[in-house]
Amino acid sequence: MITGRRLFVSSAVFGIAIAVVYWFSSHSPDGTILLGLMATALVFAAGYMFIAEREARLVGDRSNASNADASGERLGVFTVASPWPIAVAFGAFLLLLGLAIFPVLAVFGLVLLLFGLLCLGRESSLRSAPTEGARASEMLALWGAAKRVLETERTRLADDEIAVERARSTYARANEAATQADSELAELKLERHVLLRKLAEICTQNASQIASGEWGTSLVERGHQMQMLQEKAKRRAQDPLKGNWFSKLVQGISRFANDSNNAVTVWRYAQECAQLLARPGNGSASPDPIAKRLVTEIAGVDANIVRAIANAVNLRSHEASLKSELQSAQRTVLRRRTAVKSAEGRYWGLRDSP
Amino acid sequence: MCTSIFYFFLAGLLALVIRAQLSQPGMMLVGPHQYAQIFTLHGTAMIFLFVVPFALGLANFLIPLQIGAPDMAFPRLNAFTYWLFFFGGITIFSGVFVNGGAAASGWFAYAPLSEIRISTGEGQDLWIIGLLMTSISGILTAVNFITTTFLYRAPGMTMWRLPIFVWEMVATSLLILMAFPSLAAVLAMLFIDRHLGGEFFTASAGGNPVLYQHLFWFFGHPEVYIMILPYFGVISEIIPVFSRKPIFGYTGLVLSAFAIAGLSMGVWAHHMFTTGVVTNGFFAAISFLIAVPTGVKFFNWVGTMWRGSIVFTTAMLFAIGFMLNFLIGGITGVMVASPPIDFQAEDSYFLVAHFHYVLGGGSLFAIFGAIYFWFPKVFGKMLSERLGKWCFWLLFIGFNTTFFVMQFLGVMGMPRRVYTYAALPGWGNLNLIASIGSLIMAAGVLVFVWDIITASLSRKHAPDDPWGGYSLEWWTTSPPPEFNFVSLPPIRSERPVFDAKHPELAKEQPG
Repeated sequence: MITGRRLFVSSAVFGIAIAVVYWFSSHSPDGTILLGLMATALVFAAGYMFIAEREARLVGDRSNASNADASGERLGVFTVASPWPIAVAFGAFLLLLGLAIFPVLAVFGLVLLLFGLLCLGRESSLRSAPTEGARASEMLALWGAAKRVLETERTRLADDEIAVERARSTYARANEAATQADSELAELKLERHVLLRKLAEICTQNASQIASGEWGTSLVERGHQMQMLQEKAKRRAQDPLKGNWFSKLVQGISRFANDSNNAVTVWRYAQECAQLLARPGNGSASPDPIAKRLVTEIAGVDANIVRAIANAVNLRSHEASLKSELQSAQRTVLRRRTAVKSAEGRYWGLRDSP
Repeated sequence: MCTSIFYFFLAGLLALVIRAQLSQPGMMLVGPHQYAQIFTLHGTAMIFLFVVPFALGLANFLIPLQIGAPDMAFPRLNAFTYWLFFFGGITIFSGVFVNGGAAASGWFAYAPLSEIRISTGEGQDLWIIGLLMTSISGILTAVNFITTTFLYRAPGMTMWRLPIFVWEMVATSLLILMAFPSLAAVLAMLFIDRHLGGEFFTASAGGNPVLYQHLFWFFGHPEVYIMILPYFGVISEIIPVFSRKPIFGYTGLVLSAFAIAGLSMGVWAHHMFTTGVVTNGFFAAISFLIAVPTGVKFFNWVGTMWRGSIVFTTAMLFAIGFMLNFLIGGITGVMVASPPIDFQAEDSYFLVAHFHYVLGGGSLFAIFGAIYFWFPKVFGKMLSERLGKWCFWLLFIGFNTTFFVMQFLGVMGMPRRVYTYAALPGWGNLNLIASIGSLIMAAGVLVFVWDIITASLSRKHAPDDPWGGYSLEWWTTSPPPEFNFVSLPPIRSERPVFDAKHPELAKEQPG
């Protein structure tokens, strides 16, 4: 309402201003009187807005009003049909025609005009009778109900579709998180593997100390076996090859095969040692500082791995539950679509019937 | 609306007769007096019985729908205004059947030409009372519009969320309230002069014929804006929907409408430059100023289309055609607003071309755009897009063929309102071209009539929202039920239907 009032006030101010400007630029009375009359009319309208409408509390002026706020609001009765406007118009037509051409017509026109106005007034005072409401026929009510059902179903469908989208995106997020946890776990395992290899290398280099029990009793046997194999290889290397070139070749090949076999076995034993060392509590047994550091590192990685496994398992089970939720939401949407279709069918059917 | 289109067909037929008459120099299809009757009726009917009532009829249908109201505020007053307009139109045309024929003094019926001593026929009286009735009808309709818009808005539909069309109609109604009383007054004075012995406009008895011009144009120029502002609104509804963007510069469009309305009240005497009794400087300055808010509107429309994904439906084509034609009309308007040019162009075909570009190229194209846009909503049937495009191109080409050459004719000095002319160099050919253009336009209108007939007979339903519209009328069914709405969406912006259908894109507005 404030906007409307401003509209009339600014129009009135403009009217006055332009009348004044016109007077001083032309000193011509006719145009100034015209503009002055216009300004006066606008001042009246603006004044009316202040006096009559200051109490108006319109639901249309509240920017956050909802349909519920408007319930119970009485807009008045909207007359559907009335014969009197056309009677008044025809009366005015006859009156003017009569004045111009045929004076007798003017009398008829005047009578019709007054009679029409009278009836119009009577109709206004009778309007409170609920005849209009009764005219809102059953058909309209049925059709309105069908429309409402359709609207509700459509809103629900929209809500359900939004729910599906939401479930889909949550599921996608969970899936992504689980995959990431998996890859983190794999990385940790790789790190542990690398550390173990380094430890195993150190173990091969220190086979004799391990055999002597310096690295802890549980490793002694593997240390002996490593030492034996290493010594065997050393002896073989010192023993010169004999015979002609062919037997030398055969000997060389068999030695190479033996050595490789031995080296693989040594490496396996070293790894076993490393595994044993990496077991919780064994780290303190090794006197070698690098090995010691590696063992603690491995212990740290192991702890991380345990955590990562738990995390991954958790995420996977969460993902599975979200997936079933998504599937049920999708089924709901399918059902809702059928419901909307049938509501639409009812609505159109009612609308098409006469 | 339908009545106004019926009057449009009558007036269009008259225009065809005019063009046939002028297609060759020295033609004698109709005599001078009949010719004067024809152009008077053509102008009067096009202005008072077609362009303005069409806008009022369209607004009558659309304002309650666009603001979410069940009906207009005063339904019976509304019916009264329609019947008054209906009888008024009949009265004006019935002049053809009386002694001395219809009014023949031009659509502005200057005194003393329209006084009883010169225009002795009853046609002039019928013209006066017919216009009196339509002007009263216009005033009452304006009251109805303003009341409806101020008091019957749906919950949440604040003034600054009204569709632009409704705003333009508020501006138009305000203009009607300021200008139409002047018309009613001048017609009453003329009537008193003719029948009750008044001497308002008789110089020999102390009256003043220039007063007639003052009073008439005090109404007459705002009338031009009454004829164009609603169609600015129509264009502002069509362009954003088919550019798939919100309107650019909403506040600018609203304020420019009121700037145009206000300024137009101060320009009436630019029709009277050549009388020599008005202050040309004042009126020229204000006439130039009006170009500014009009430019703002063009800027906003182009800004709306800029980088939108434009859909070239028939309605959109008419909107673009409107912009092109109206631009030409607007520019020639600025030219004749300058008194030195006006002294040359006054009463020549240059002026005829100017106002036909504004009203024909402008309002008429917007009217066709509006019909193609809202026909499904009003009647629940779709018009054919294929025929619609034929109609558009025929009208666009025909219109420009007819009226572009008139600018040259005007510069060559051909005066308006002559029933025939001498075979001066160039005049005959250009007139022939103009007449051919009018035939092309007539073909376009025939295509349109055919389209309406086939659409009305087809059994196919129009969907509730065929275009993906923004404003509330697209929420309800096509056609709407008795009290317009069964339900309303929440209104939180100037595009409630768009928001309701695309909640993910809805603009949350504070408070």
